[in-house]
Amino acid sequence: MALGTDDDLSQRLFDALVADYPDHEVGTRPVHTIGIGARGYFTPSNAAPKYCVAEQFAGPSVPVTIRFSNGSGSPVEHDDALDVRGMAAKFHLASGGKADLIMITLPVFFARDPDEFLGFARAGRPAFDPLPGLWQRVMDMLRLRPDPTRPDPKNPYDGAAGVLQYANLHASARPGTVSALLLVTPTSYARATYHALHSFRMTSPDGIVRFVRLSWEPVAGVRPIDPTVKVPEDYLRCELPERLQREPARFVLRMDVAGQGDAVNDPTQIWDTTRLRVVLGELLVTEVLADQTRDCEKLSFNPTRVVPGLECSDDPILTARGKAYEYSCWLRGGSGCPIGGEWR
Amino acid sequence: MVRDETPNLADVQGNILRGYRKHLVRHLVLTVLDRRAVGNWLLDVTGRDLTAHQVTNAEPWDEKPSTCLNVAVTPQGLAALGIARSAIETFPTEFVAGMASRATKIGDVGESAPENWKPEWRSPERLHLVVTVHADTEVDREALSREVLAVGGGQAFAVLASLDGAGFPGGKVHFGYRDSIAQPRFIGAREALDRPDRQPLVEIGAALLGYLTPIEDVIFDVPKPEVLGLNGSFNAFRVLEQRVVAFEEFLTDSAETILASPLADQVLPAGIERTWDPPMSRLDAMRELVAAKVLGRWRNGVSVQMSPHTPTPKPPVSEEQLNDFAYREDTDGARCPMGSHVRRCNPRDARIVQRSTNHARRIVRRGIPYGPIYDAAQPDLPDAPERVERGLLGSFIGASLLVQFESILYDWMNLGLLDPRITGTNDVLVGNNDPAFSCFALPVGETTIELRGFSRFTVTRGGAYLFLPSLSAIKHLGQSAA
Amino acid sequence: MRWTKLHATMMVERFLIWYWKRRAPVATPQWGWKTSLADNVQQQMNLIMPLADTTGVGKAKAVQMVAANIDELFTGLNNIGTVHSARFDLIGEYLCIITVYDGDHEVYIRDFISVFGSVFDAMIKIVADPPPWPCELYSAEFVKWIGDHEGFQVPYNLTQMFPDEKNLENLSRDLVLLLADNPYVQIGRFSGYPALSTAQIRLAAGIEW
Repeated sequence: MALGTDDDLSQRLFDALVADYPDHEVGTRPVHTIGIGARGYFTPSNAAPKYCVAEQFAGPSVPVTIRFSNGSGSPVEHDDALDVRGMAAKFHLASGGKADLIMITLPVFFARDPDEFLGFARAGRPAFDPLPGLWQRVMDMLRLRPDPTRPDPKNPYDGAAGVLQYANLHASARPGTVSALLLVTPTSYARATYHALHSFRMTSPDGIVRFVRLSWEPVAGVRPIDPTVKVPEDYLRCELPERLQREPARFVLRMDVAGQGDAVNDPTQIWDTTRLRVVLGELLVTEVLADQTRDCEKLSFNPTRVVPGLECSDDPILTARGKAYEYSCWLRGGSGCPIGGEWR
Repeated sequence: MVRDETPNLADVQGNILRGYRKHLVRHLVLTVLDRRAVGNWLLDVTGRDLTAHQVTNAEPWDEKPSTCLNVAVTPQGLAALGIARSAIETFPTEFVAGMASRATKIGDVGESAPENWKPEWRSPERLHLVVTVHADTEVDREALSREVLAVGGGQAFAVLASLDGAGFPGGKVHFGYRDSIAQPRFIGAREALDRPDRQPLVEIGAALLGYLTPIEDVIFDVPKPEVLGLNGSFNAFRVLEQRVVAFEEFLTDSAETILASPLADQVLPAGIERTWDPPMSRLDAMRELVAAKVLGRWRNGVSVQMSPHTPTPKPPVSEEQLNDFAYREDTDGARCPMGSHVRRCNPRDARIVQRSTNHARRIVRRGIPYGPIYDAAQPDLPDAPERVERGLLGSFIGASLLVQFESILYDWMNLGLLDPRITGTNDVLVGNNDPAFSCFALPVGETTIELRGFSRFTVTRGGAYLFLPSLSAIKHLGQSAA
Repeated sequence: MRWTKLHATMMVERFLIWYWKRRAPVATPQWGWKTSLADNVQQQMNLIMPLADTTGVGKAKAVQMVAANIDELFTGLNNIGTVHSARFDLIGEYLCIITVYDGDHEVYIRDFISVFGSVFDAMIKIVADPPPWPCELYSAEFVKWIGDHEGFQVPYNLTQMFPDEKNLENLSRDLVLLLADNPYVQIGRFSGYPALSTAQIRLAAGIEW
C-alpha cells in the first residue's frame, strides 16, 4: 500500500503516537519520554564471534551507554503505572562506530507493517472506559471472564478498550495485545527481561546467515512489584542509582535462532522457547550517568543503527522505525541523526 | 492370528511384491457414480467374467502379459462401495484421516501444501478409486483404459483425473538418475532380477497385512473384516513435480563452489575425469559428482559406496552387483554421505541413532515419470524456467503408512534424525528445503564442505493414501457394492 | 454435606461449563499445537495412566513392575536413541511416564512397542482401562490409547490456542472449557539446550551416540 514518501510516513507515525498522549511535550521523545541513562560494558561470550562477525562480538569488552525508560509519551512520570519498559543500548565500538540495540519488555509487537500500526495507534487513543460496576463484574463472572486490568487504576481514560477491540478484529495484533495485558510492573529496571522484537540478520565468519531475535535477560531475575503496595511515582528512577551503587546490574544477551518456517519479517509472531538459544555475552551496568542530558537525553538510539554482521531483516516495522526515529531525533534536536550521513 | 506362511500370491495384487516394468502407465482417479455397476465390475475382474481384463495378481509369469490392471481405494471409496463406517474405522488412523491431513508431518508445506494441490486431490469426498493401467504401447493403454471407463455403460465412474506416465530410456527419471534399482527382497516372493544387497531378506508383513513384519513380534493391525484387510497393502500415491532446471543449476553452483575450494582435489582427484567413460571436463565431472553424492548413486546407477570417484570404474560394476554394497565401513560418509538420498531412506547396516530400526522401515517404491523429458539443449523459456511441469507419479507401498512412508519422510528424509551430523537438514532431492536453511554436508577427509542455499526441488502437486486390497477383498467390495 | 463456599463455587462453575460448552464449544486439536516446523526435537510426552488397584499393595506392585523391568527399559530407551529423558512417576493413583524424545510421536510409541513391548504388556495389566493386549499385535489401538491418556500440551501464548476466537476477553473461558475436557495438562516447557537432538548432544559431549 502506498503511504506517500518515507518522510511523510515517519511524520504520520510520529503524530499517531503523540496523539495517544494528549499532554505530550514538544522536543521530547514521542514515546519512552521518561528515562534514565547509565553506562556499562558488554563482554561477548566465546561463542559469539563464531556466530557473528559484527564488531561488538569480537571481544574483549565494549563500553555501552544504556537508557532505561517507561513506554509512555506523557511528560508526567508514573513509574508505578502499568507500562512497557524500554532498554536502549549504544555500543561504542573500538573502530569509533556505534551500534544500537533497542529492546522493550514485550516479546512481540502489535502490527506487521506501518499501516497496521497506524490503525493500532488510532485504536489506542484514550477513551472513557470506567471500571466495571458490580453488575458488569457479575456478568463477567458468568461469562467465565477474568477481571479486566488497566494501565492506570486511577485514570478512567485510557486506550485499553480500544486496543482490545482492535485486536479482536486483527488477528496479527493478538499475541502482542495479550502480552501487553499480562505486563507487570518491575521492582527495578534491572529486574525485567527486554526483547528486541525484530529479527536481525546475523552473519558468521564462515558466511552462514541466520535470522535471530535478541533479548536481555536480567541475572538478578524478573521481579514484579506487589500491586497492592503503593510505590512513589518516581521509584524506578530512584531505585537504579541506589542499586548500582551496591553492585552492577547484569544482563545476559540471549539470542534465539529462527527455525525453518518461522516468520522472520513479522514482529507479531511468537517464537517458541524451543528455538536454538545461544548466549552471546554479558552486560554489566555499572553506574548512572552524571550528565543525563548531554550523555543520554540528547542521544539518538535507533533500532536500525547496525554494523556489518548483525544487520536488519526486511521487517517492515523495523524499517519504518528506523526512519521514524530519525525524524523524531531531528525534531527534538538530538545528536547522531541521520545514521551515517548528513540531512539532505 | 500370526501367519508366517507365504501368502497365496494369486490373492495379492501384482505390483506390490514386484514391479511390472511396463513402459506406460495411466492412473485413473475416479468417483463411483453407479455403485452397482462398479460392484459388478469388481466381481468381473476378480474371476467372475474372464472376458473382462482381470486384476493382475502377484503370481510369477511364464509370459508377461501385455497389459496389467490394479485397483486402489480410499476410505471414501470404501464407503461409496457400501463398507460400513465401523469397518472403515478399523483401518489405520492415518489412512482414514487422509494424506492431506498429515501434511505438516510429511513436509507438504509451503508450495507443497494441500491447498496448492491439483483439484482432483483436494476433494477427498469424491476421490474413491485409483485404477491403474500398465501397458507397453499407447494402443494397449488406451484400449484398457476405455474398457474400464466403459463400465456401467460409461456411467459408472466420473473421471477426476487421468494421469499418464511414460518411462524413459534406461529406466531414468527426470533428475537424470536411473531409478528403482533397489527394492526389498521379500522372503518367499522375489523379483525376477534379484540382486544381492547384503541386507536381511524382508518379512512379507512389511508389504502385506497379516504377516510378521521386520519388527520382531510385531504384526500390523489387519482391518476388519479379515477378508477385507488380509493380504492388502497401502500406497502413498504422490504426484511429485520435479524442478529439473533448478536442480541442474544447483549442480553447477555446487560444482563451482567445490572447485573454488582447496579441497577440490580431495573431493575428486585431479584428472580422474579423463578416465571416465565418456570423459568430460572437470566442471562437468564435478557436477556429476555432486549429483552422485546427493543421491548416493551416480546417474548411471553405480553406487558411490562402491565407486566414490568414477561412475565407470574398472572393472565395471555389473547389473547384478548394483546393490552389492553396505555402509558399515563408511562411518563418516566419505564415500556415501550420511545425508544422501539412498542412505537416508534405507540406511542398510549403517550406524544410525535409532539403532533398532535399520530394517524396520523397508518400503516398496514404484514410480514413473510424467511430463516431457528435459533437454538441456532446448531448455524451457528462459524467463520461466519451470514453465513445463514434469515429475514423478510415485507409489510408496507398504503395510503401514505410518511406520514406513511417514516415518521415513518425517525423521529421515526431513530432519535427518538418523545421524547427528546431518540432523536439522533435509534431503536435497525431496526434502522440504528453504534456501535460508538448506544444507548438504559433503564429508571430505577430516572435514566437511557444506552446500547451502538450495530450494526445494520436489514439490507435491497432489496425492492420496490408497488401500490396495487383495483379490478376495476386491471380491468382497464387489459383493458389498453390487 | 456442609455447603461451603467452595462447594457452591464448584456447582456454579460446573453449570457454567455445561452451559458454555453448548453455547461456544472449543475443540481440542488432534496434534496439540506445534508452533513451528522446527519443533521436531525434544518433544514431550506425559502419559498418565489410572491404576486398577489403588491400594497400598497395588501401588507397590506398580513400583515393583517398573523395577523388575529396568534392564529391558533402559536397553530399549538406549536403542531407540532419541530419548532425552524418561521417568516413571507414581502420582496419587496414577502411574505416569514422562519423557522427552526426538521425532514423531506415533513413531516413538511404535519404537517403544518394538523394543520393550513386554514392559508395556506388564503395564497394561495394572491399569484401570487397558487397551487390547499384547501391544505388538494391537499397536494401532495402543497408540490411540496412549493418545487418550496423554497430558495435553498448552502453549504459553493463549492466542495460539484459539485462533478462531473472535473476542480476546473470551480466552479465559475457552481455556476453562478446554481444561474441562483435558484434565491432565502440561503448561509450556523449558530446555537447557533447545533445538538439539539427543544424538547431537551426545556427539558434542564426546560420549558417542
